[in-house]
Amino acid sequence: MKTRLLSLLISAVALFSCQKETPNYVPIIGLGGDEWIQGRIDSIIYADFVYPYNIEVIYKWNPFDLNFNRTLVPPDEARVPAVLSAIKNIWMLPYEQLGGTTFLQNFSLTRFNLVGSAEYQDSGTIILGTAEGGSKITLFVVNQFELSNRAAVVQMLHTIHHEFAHILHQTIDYPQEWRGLSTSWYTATWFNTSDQEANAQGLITSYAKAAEREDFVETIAYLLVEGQAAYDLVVLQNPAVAQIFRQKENLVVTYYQNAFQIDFRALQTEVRAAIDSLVTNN
Amino acid sequence: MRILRVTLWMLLLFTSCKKELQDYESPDRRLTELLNSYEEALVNSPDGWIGYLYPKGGGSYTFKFYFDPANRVRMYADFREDYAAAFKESSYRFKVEAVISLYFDTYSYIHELSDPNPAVIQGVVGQGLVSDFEFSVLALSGDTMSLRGNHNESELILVRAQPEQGESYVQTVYTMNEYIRQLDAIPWYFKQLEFAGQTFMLSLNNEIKTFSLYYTSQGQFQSFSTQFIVTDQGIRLREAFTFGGESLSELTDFVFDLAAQTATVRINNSTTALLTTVRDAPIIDPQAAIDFFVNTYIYRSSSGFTINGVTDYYSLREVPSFTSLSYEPRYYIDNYDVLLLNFGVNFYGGVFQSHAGNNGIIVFDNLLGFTGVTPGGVHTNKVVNSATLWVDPQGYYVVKTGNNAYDLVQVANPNIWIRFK
Repeated sequence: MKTRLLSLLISAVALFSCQKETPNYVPIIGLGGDEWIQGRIDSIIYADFVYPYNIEVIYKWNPFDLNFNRTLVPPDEARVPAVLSAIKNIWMLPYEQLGGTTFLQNFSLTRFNLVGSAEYQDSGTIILGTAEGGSKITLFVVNQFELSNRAAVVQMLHTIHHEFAHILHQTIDYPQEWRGLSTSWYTATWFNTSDQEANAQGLITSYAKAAEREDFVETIAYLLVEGQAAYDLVVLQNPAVAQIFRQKENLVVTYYQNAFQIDFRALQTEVRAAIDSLVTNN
Repeated sequence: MRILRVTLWMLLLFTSCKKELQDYESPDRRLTELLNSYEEALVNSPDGWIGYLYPKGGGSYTFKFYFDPANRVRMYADFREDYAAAFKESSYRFKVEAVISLYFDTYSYIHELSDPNPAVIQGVVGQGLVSDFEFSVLALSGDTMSLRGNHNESELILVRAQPEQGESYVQTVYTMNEYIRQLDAIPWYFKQLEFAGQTFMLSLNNEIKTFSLYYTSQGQFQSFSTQFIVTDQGIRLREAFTFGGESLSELTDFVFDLAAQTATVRINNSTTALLTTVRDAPIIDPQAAIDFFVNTYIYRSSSGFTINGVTDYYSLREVPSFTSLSYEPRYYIDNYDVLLLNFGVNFYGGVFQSHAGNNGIIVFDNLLGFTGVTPGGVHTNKVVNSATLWVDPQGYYVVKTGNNAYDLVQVANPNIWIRFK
């Protein structure tokens, strides 16, 4: 009797003592990212980048992803589709063709940020592209981008290939032999050197003088985007350092072969063909 | 039995105290409500919103915005004739930060003012005209939304448009702005206005959109300066001027009589005042010439001299790649200054000495010769003619029209003047 009464009482306590009310729950605004009504550009991005590769392309103004103490402007919507097409045709498809369909999924590039203008530095230089943490690429001067303008296409794709090469060497480092080739020329004030002067020192662009890793990725980007012919011309004009240029070129080719089993020569051909076809057909 | 007693006590203990939820609204709920009220306000205005933008870098711009529920915005702007006539569509969104912000998040007319590329709007390299395109919403009251730029703290005021302020509103504003420029076509520079029983001299700088009044009170020079925006009727002052119990905040219905050198204008939509011109003894700030001279600044004129009401009398703008006519005080270490025609990467101009007086007059003399690369042909003469006017022996009255902005008016002929900013 006692036990039954006790258990009854205990259940009564358990059931009624604590009355819970559902709080008026409102989710945190913006949790999970900004939302807006999807438009045409959003569907291109979803179909070509988000769904197949989980790569996000941010073209709407998002100051928290950019340098806050610089004046920048967002891209003009009219320019965005051309940029997307260039990224897809000149960077993604060639790598996929030679590295396999899963190559881009393996190297964790997750985000493109598009910015309308360049980022102007106090030193008088402008930044055309940056890569962060091996996963995010910011592309500037979108508002001057036209597919029919070869110089603009080369400039932007040079940036993309440059930044992606950073992601590659941040995953598998470049060969030891690279160290020492041009070490004496690396400087923070690389912008005081013209491209011609840098060429005479055995560096393919003046920016290649910024650091060893910049030298490595500039060489890759130049060989891919400006192309072998342009590279050969630089070598020809600077016979004193021709051997350094050739050594760097060979190191790039073996790096791609050993690290990723990619035929760099074939990659060069694909990238050139893509640029030629986009520029002439637009 | 003891257990029963204990249990009863415990039952009492657990149920006796009823807790009530505090009357508490979550911050997210309040934010959501606020956000919805902003969105509804912007979208539910069939005639759109008129935007008055005061960039941190100076000037003022009138916009017309039509916001739709799909994050799209159409805008017109008054700083270019084609932008006033045809809209550009782009996107916008609200973002909840510390304060709810309105982002114009893809490129449109308003972004040109912020474009760091100097080729876009001839702003400062890397800064543009120091403006904004993402704004914190400070308040929404009635038909007015006040916003402040997140990057440079420019001010944007959105006012709900009325049915008569339709798609062509900004075009009307543009036309009005051009019309008001006729004030500069009145040959004599010094304009005078009677207001609240006091005589004021007035300047209207259309390039940086400033309105200034100069007067004498108890023998002392006084001045008032503020920015203005252009409406379809005339101009509205950013800050009202009050004097003798009367307030001046809007000037409308400008009617110019160039021959008589006068104009009439309505003040605050009520009284009509007469703007007259004076030839001699203007009200001048005795300190202005010295301030103008000691300031470390390169003064730039976008049009050179105005003579007899003709802006850019010497057609400097026709010099290929013309950018400005600039005066730089204390240019050389040995007391010589320059008035340079800047075109492309070159410059050409006279070398002379400057003497700033404490009577508000600056005199330029000792024209040594010319320096730089000649623009060639007729263009070289334009520089020589400008320099000849510049070294007039009686000098120039200095009139401050804004921050680092000055008008220089010939003492001998007040129908010859030049505007620097």
